[in-house]
Amino acid sequence: MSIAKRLAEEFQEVRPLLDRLRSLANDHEFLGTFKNGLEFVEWFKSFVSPVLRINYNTGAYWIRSTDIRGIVLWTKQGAWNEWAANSVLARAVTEYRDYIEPEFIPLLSHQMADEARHFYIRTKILTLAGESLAGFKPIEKWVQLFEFPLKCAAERLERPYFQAKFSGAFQTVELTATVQHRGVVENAHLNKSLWQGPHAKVAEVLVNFSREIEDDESFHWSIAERAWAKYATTPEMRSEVLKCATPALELSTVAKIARIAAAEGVDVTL
Amino acid sequence: MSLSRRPVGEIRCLNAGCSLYVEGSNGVYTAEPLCPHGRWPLDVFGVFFEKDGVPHVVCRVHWGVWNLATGEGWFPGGRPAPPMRIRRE
Repeated sequence: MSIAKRLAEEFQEVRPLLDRLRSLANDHEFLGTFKNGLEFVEWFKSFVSPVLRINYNTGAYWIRSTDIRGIVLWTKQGAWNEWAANSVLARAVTEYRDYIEPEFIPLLSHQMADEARHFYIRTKILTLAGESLAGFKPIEKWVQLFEFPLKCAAERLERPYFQAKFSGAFQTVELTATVQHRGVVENAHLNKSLWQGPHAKVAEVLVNFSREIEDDESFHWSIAERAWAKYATTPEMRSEVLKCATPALELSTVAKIARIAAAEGVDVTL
Repeated sequence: MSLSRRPVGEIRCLNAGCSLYVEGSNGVYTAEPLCPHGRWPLDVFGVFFEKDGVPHVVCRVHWGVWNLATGEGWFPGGRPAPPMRIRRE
């Protein structure tokens, strides 16, 4: 069975959870039950864990069956993603500088440096595989995903709503990325054919890279935890956070499945 | 020491509260859903096993191990880990 189709089936099972999350964004009575922002953060991570498991599987299932062609396609989209993430951050701290909380500027700058390093490494992996980003056209779902955070945050151009919403959309993607990279690292050894032949070095570098950036993505997600712990102290703010985090969570999962579908040459309904 | 079949762990949320439910060979154990150390969801990063009839969970992020009957935890090398909040069903 196609990996993308298997993941699409798993994704259908969590649609009710995402629908529930959407309705909870409008339930101020429920959102008022958390004692503080940190409790809200921890509830969010626990509540969405079934979706995170699917994101883990996008890495795990894929690496178990892919080949050098699949790695190249994955890495091309991945490189574009790093560039896009960096562009979003650059816009956030310039065009929206009046709405970014000053204490987060160094953190976002650190993330920008990380994304630039990730882009650099991914392009090196492509070179090692005899490929490049030249002529690459990104998958539409990924374009939508990276357009979304500033669009959603800009619905509330006031402090600290913008920061909390932006983190909700942008760093939630990092949360899903963390578990996906772990899926790759923990399952790569099961694909014996990847470790043989002329492209074994590419596989080795990809897995090492996935291990490295998992830590970075985890740090990037922690920026949202910090923003929510500090600002998500009212039902209204928590509602605004979920209105950005939920679509981002859904779209980042769908985009990962779409990437695998494109590599397999299959159509999936998501 | 006896290692029996692997327990199964799942996070369930009711209202604003979420818990980790682990079905062991002699009952269900309930604990906090996130690793007490790095706060990662244990149904994503946890590996569950039973030792002498007691379920344990290992968090694969930093390899802490917790006894789900007592909440005690430790890291490789024996260093104590933050205790896990548990509740026996």
